[in-house]
Amino acid sequence: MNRRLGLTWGCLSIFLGLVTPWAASANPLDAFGFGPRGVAMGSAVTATARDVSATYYNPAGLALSDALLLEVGYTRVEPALTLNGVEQDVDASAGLQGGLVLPGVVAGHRVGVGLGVHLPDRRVTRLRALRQSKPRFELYDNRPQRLSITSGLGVEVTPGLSLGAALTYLSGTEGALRVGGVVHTSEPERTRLFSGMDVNLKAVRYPSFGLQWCPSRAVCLGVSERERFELALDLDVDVQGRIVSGADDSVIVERGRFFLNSRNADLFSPRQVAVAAAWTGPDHTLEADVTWLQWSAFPGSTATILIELDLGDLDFTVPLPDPPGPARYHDIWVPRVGAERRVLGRAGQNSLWTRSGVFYEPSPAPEQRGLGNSLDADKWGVSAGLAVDWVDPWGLSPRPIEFALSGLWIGLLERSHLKASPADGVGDVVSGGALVGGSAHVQLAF
Amino acid sequence: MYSSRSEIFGGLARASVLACALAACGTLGDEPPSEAALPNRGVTPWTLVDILRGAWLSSWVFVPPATSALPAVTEPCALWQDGVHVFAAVQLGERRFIGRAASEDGMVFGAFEPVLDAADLRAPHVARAADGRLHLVAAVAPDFGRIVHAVESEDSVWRMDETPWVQARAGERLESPSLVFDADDAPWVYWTRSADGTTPRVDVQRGSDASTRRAVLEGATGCASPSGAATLCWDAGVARPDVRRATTAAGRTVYRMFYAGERGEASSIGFAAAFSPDGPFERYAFNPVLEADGRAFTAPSAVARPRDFALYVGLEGARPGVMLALDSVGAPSETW
Repeated sequence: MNRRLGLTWGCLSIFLGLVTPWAASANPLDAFGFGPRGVAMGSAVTATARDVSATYYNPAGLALSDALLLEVGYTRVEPALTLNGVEQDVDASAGLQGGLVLPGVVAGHRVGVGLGVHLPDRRVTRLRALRQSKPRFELYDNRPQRLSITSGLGVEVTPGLSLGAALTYLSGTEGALRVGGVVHTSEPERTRLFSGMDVNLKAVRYPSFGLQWCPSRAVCLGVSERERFELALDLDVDVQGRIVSGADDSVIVERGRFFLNSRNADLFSPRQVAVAAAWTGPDHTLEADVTWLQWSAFPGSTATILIELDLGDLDFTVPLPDPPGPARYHDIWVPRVGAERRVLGRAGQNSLWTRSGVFYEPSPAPEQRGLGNSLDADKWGVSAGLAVDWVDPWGLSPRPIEFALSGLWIGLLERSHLKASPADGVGDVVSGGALVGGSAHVQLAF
Repeated sequence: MYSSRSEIFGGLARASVLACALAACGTLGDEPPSEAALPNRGVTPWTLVDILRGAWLSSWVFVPPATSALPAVTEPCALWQDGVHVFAAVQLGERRFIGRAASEDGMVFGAFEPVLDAADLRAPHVARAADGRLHLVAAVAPDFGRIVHAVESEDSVWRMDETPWVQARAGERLESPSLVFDADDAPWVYWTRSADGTTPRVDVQRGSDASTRRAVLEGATGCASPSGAATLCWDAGVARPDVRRATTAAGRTVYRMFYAGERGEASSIGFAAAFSPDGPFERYAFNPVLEADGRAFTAPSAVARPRDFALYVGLEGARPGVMLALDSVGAPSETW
């Protein structure tokens, strides 16, 4: 790729980056990984991600891509999670995944801009606030059910050392329903109310950063940091008006008011720092990652309700629901190991890769002994994959086309939640089960 | 050689694309989430059921008798054994006895068959010991000064102890007993204790050992109306306990109690539970679980069935009888 073409791509990349919604809420990707290589290697790719998945795992890797990459695929993870041995109807996470990486050279430095997309095929994003006591698998309820668009930029600062950054963008919902008029207590048909609604989709952004350093051809190190993300659902109901009674519309309350505010942090992704080391070569990669996730900042997903009632001289109050208790999650460290090896063929020719990975993710959630039932358990993940680099015999693609299949199994260790109160409405709960998924991807390189 | 490899890789590529397309097709459509599999421990919500009797819908499991030829039942004790078996003090005309009736669906019962021909016994409660035998406790009318115990022998004959298990102290009335066996197969008997000038409460005793007698649930106090004024709690008096030893989904033992909460003429059903047979019993935070709606629900008796929970409740007043409520949303998570 000559310098002029590189600059052209670089400018185009920056332009695309600016006009694209900069979104990268990583939750489906946190849960299951991103891209065929990332999924198959148990997400242990922080030091070596240089394809579309680098937009999520480590944007610094975008600078080291040596080709323009276009990738598209489909991923699906089917939960079989159980409570008390009974399988729950937890929604599958499924959708299209893909993106592109545009490499170039700017001011003598290799740069790369990437765009990665996870587009769910059932719903763009789901927000829902369950009552605190309703059992749910907190990490697999809403988290995997959302759109993720990741855009990042990587720059090779010195040979072997690259830095990268990305931005996340989604929208939180703020809304108010305002109702006013006259409430007739004795003749309801004479009640007249007028309503208006005001809803804003408020922008939410956060950055992520990465570093990759390869001190030799065989060793690469990586560090990436993804900031905390929280998507709030903030709704008001404001009813104001006069309350009257009788044929002569005797005024009971001149200016009554009922106000209700509900707020919850439904979609939450903790701040994460991943540190990785890889032993790599043209035909193999062996990588170990450790990721720290700051789950202690999780505020809980139950809505906080505020109610105000003003009925003048009428002596009446509305009992407030108890505020949800703190989630009391704690930080966790997740070790991951991944490997890949070319078992057939050579670089630039038809070849076959095998990939595998394993990780252990301790649960950040405490035992649910109180009213809440935000359930989770320690997890083992095992993954594997195959990738074929196929040289197009018609010459339509200048480089081998990669076809990749990956499979993932996540097993939740059985966990008992013993309630402190014998009169708890749900009682003791035993959680467990597994998630099984896979993906199929095609990657073109130019 | 190269040609055959190329074919192999081409085949794999086509397979990948086909798998991708098939997977995408498989996701078409989206069913709404279901709560049918969520844990249900049989506390709430209860739905009173109407039972089809011929061409008529009836709310009654045991109908208020229109004539003295029909049995009058108000305080049932239900057990699950390949169907629901109800024990009750039955009045049939001038005759009174402890009877047993069975039903496959828990709604339509056969005739009561006498198991104890004792006219003075009221509100029998039956529990199964570890050896499989049924034990029965009952209050003794008309003074309600004692609670007696009987056990079913191998030849299905009920034999009553010569001495009562519980003897009333001065001024007390002992009514509506309930019997459970703990994990060590020791019997515990609960009853409603009332006396002049006091609100009813629930007491417990280990078998016939009077030294273990104690109160386990007392009437609630400190309630307030929406305006903040002090008011009588819905369960200012607690009576008619139905206690069962259950096993939770995690294998723990819990003692479940449904009881009647009384406030004047109104009577609703509440739930309390404890990890030990002698308490302390904690009330469910969202009591009552079956609220008086002009009718006075009393004398609860709960059954854990394979797919749901059934709660038989007696009704008092001008038309006494027994109704049935079901809690069938979710997967049962406790058994007894």
